[in-house]
Amino acid sequence: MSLFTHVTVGTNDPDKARAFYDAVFGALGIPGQHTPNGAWYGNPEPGSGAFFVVAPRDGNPACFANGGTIGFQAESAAQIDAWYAAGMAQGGSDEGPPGPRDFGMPIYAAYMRDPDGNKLCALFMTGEPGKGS
Amino acid sequence: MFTHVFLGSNDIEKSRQFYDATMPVLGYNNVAPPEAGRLIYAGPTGTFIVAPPANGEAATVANGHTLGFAAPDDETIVKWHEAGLAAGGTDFGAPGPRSAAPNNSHGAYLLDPDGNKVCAFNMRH
Repeated sequence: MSLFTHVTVGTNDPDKARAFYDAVFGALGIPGQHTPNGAWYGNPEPGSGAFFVVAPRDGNPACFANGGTIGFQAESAAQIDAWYAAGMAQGGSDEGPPGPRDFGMPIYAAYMRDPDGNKLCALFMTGEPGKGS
Repeated sequence: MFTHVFLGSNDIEKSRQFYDATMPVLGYNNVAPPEAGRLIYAGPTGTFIVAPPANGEAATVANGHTLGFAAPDDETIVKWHEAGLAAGGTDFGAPGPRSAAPNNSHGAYLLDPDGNKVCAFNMRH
């Protein structure tokens, strides 16, 4: 069982959000479905978690958090490169281009904000200190 | 799908009180030493981190954001909600079935001391 059942982020423009998340989840090989007020994405296996992007239920504008980040699992450095390129081409903004990072363990990662400003990253554990790919 | 989720905190001791009360109910303990100034609840399938924002500015809450934690059964959801209310959390939805969730799964909602919206769900697949 995954630690997380789901993560939801808000959007003020569901069309832009759908275009962005269709592109970035496509790069990770994760399927999704559009809903009347947004979209959701997830692998079909039970317990693997789901990601939702929707207009806030309270009717107020969506806003992003300071201090919030959502990390997605990637299977290779090349997949992270594709994730970042796909998102940047669909209204994303850079928060750290793809490359090796060392947070006490060797990883390859990229950071990006979605069109609403929500901060995301994609990670791949490389297993090779300092190598990153 | 998720490697980790970060939430911002403006008072890590209040956050510690809340998450050290609620996360162990779900089977996760804080693995960061007290001097780290952050909370890290690590499991084999993901890591949850609570910390002051890296840019040094105040933590703020996103409108539209919710973070869902997995619970193994409905009783655990009740315990999680009670533990959070007793540790600085604010009720945002009592334990019970949720018609929008698959198979009417049970869930409960809380705001953490910084106002981040979190929930616990027992997903019935």
